[in-house]
Amino acid sequence: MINFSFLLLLVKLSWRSIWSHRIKSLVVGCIIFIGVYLLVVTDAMMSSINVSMEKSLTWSVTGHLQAYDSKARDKFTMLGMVGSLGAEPNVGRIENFAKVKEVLQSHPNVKHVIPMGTDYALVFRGNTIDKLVNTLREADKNHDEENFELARKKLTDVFDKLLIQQEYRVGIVRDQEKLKSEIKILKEVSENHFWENFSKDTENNLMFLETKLAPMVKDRDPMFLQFLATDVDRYAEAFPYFKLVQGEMIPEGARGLLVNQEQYDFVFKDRMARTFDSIENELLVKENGPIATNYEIQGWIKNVQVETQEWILDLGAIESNKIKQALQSYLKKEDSLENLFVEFLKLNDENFFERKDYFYQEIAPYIDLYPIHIGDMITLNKFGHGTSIRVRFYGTYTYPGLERSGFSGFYNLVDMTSFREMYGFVTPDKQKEIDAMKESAGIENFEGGISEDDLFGEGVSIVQDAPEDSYKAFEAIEDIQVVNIDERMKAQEAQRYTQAQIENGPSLSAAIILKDRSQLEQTIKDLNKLIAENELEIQLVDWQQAAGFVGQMVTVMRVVLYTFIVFVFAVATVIINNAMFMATMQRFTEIGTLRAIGAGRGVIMGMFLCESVLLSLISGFFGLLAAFVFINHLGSVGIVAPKPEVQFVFGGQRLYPHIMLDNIYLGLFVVFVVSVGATLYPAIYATRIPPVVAMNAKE
Amino acid sequence: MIYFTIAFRNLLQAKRRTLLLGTAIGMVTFLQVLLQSVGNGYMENLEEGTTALTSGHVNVLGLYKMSHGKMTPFMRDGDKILELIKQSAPEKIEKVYLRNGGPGRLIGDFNSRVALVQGIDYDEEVGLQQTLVLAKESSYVEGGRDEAFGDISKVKEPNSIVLFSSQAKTLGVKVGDEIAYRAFSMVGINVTTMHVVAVVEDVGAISSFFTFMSRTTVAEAMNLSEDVSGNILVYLKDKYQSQEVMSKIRDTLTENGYSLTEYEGLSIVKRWGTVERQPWLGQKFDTVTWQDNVKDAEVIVKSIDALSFVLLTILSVIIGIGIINTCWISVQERSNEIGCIRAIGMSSRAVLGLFMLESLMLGVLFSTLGALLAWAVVLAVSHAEIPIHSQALSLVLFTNKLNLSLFWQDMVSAIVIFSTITGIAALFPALRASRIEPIQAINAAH
Repeated sequence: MINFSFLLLLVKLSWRSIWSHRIKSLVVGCIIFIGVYLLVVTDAMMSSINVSMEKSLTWSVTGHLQAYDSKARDKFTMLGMVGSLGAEPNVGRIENFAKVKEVLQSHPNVKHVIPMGTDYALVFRGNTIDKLVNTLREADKNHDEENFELARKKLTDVFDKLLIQQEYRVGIVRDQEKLKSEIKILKEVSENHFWENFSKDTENNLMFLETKLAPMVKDRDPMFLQFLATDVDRYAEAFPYFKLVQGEMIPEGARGLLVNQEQYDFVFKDRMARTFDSIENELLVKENGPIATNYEIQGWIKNVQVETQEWILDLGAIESNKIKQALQSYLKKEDSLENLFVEFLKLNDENFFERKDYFYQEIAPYIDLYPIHIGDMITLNKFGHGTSIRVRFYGTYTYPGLERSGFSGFYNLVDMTSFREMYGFVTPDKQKEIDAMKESAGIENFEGGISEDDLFGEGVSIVQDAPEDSYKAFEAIEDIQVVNIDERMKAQEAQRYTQAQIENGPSLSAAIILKDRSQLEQTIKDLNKLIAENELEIQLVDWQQAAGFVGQMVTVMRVVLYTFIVFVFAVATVIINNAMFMATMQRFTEIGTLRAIGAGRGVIMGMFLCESVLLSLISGFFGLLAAFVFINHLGSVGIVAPKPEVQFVFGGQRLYPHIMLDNIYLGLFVVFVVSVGATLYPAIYATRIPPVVAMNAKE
Repeated sequence: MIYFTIAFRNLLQAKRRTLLLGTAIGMVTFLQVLLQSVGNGYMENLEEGTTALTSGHVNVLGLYKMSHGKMTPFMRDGDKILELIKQSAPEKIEKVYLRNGGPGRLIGDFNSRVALVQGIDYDEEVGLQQTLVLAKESSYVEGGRDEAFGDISKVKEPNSIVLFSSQAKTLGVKVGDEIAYRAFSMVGINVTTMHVVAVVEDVGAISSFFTFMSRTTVAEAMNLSEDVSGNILVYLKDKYQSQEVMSKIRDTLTENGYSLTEYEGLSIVKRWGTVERQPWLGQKFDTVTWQDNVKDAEVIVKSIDALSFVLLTILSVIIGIGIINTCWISVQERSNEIGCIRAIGMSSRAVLGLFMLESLMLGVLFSTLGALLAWAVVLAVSHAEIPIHSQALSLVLFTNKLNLSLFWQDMVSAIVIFSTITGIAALFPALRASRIEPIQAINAAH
């Protein structure tokens, strides 16, 4: 039994030998100090990254868990196509969300179960000619000559540009006939007599413009819109960071779209305005430096100057004039609009904020800052294969504190019913339509409309073996479509869906939010049991798997860094081992003496180990302290994410790391293992020294 | 020579110490060389992928703007441009190929994916013929046969397509099947049914994005006029002359009245938006070298370098401390011996040299061993063809197979660096040893 005084003696002996072999102690101490410092700093950084990533992901999109089709061919990820190198992942679908919710919700730790589906949609910004022709028609009806003239001017502008475009196209396109006839028509309308004779047969001419010219302009470049379809009201409850910024919430149970504020401001917004915003944002982060030394900002300014001419082309004649006047009065000189603008864009640290304000106050009112506006009806075309829907854009939203992190700036919210329609799932409205068709056509089983292959086979959609009388069904569809489209849209918009209707239907996945996050592992086990018992065809993934390769990236980083640290400690162990051996050699006489006066092998062993542990504890403590001070310092100032990609991992513009108890435990544990591991062999070697040999030895 | 013998004998005598320090030095060299090979392997993947599949050593890309803010990757009079390029530096250019292509969507039984279609003249493109290797059916069909099927040269036939095995896998098709190809053509979207005539082995993760058809098929699907192509791939006899050849090509094109975009040393992918918004219409040409194309990805190599620099600095410090300590003690232990050799006439400088030499020999010996071990590992890994399953990792490393690549220069530089470090670490203790006076040393022994 080791008693207290013996322990004290050991400590005394160890301390004495630490002191007497100062250099060796210093060497071993330094190495342990470096090791512990590195380990704790790295570990604290990694766990801080993990925590902030988890926060930004679970509280914006993924929830703690995601449930999806157990028969899915591909792994589920919320990143979709981006995450699988251009391939559209096949993640199946949850047939009946309500059933899944009922089962999962029965677990006491499950707080919310929310239906979800993510995909891409294209948003077309409308046909310019159609719009202008409508204005012409209205103005003509109201004998509003001023507006008529304005719209006419804008139209001729469009035609001129179109003519140039089609003439350039001649050099590229194989099908020349059609192109040449288009050019002929364009030349016709650009001649004066077309407009001179316009009023002679206004209606016919308007028709001519609508049928012959409008089809030539494709809808303006479509915008890509990543959307997250969900039960928007329940989503807002379940994800506490969700906050509406502009506009209003989608009315309860209605169809609608909420656009992410980040995307609205940094993707959709006018390019010129966005440049001013981006520069301002960059300047707000002090570490990035002023314009004079910031190459990135200088690059933006250079680019935006080059792009000015093309930007101006997009403006109407009236707007250009107003902006020209504003710039003339600001710059106090006369020149072309382009030159004035380029002059105005010579931004530096002195004039930036003044010019930014001037831009927003005097120039922005004449430009269309956003391609889509709150309150607009928007057509979403599912990217790839699917149908188009029209929804109202009700407002923008954000997650305060998580704005630029993870997926939180990624998605725009769409209601569940619109989503199902886009995917061609059977919605209450569609069911009604189908019923009506069946009735009018008198078909029992209508197979032409929505078949599963159509939806998920990503159809090489060749119509095969249609039932013989299916043409009746198509006639029926035509009947329904004759009903005025406007009225149908209005009815659809006024439609409110009940909670049961929203939940009774398919979704791609379901987000699960837990009451107690620390019970995650256990809850997954329980839920899997529940799923099996109820024969649900779903499987669960945690937030990290749901994040796809972004989640994996952190794991990769962790593995790489820990491998490095293992290497550092391996080398450190070898070096410490060597130092200890040499110390042992030097202490031959001492050990011999001790053994001769009766110290057992255990005592020698204890002495060595105690010395080693004591030394490691002291240097480990300083290592910990240094790491603690460093991380705390970083925690108060924050580490700036140098690039937007890094913000993804940092969970925001800055990472505020902090030390957790786990990091300290790990540090202490590793120090203990390394120091004891490195001492063990020299200590055993020392205990094997017979007293006589040791005393005789000179070295 | 005698010094070498003495130093070597000293090392042999302190066997345990030599072995321990040597292990540490060997480990660090091993790590350094291995990290280098990861970086090299990565660059190789990338270079192979881009030059062989898509860009050549110099790429001349046609940019065609029909309206402001809308740019398309088309080139008119490709054949004429091709001739001009050939003549611009005939002694340096190996081969020149014309291609066309554009984005499209491939739709298979299971799935669909976006791909950049490359329209090629198969018979012309000898380099590509060598790069593309038929893949075994088992690599893309579950339970498929261990044989390769298909015939790459059939890509010449109309409506034929060659897929990479990863694409065939996601699309769920094999040789002989049909897939739908939705080309984003000049007049809306055009769907064509394509025959899969061959499935070839992946060439790095970059191959996920590309697929091959004949030029005529692409032109038809995209509704392009006969004389319209996309880009010209220039292969050089010496790939490191790319910059020089590129400026010759630029000069020739300018002399012949063609207009070019400003050369910024970046791939067009990065500059597309900016160039698209520049105020010009019609045809321009853009040139890049293969180095510009891989530049984007140098971030990865730079971060590997930075990480290994930090790590190896720390390790060097640890080893340095270890060596100083060891030498220090060894000087103390051997003050007797030093005194003796000094007494029999060895100069203090020679003692300094002796200690440094001892340490240096230790460094050279074990860092060489470490480097050789790393070389063995690299050989073993290349031989084993270890597949990477982590998507994140394969995305970062741009490959589906672990590829390490080593140059003898890397091994030599690692050996030199770590031997120098061990040598320098011994300097301070060695200086101390050299200051020992003969009489002092002999006295100390008693």
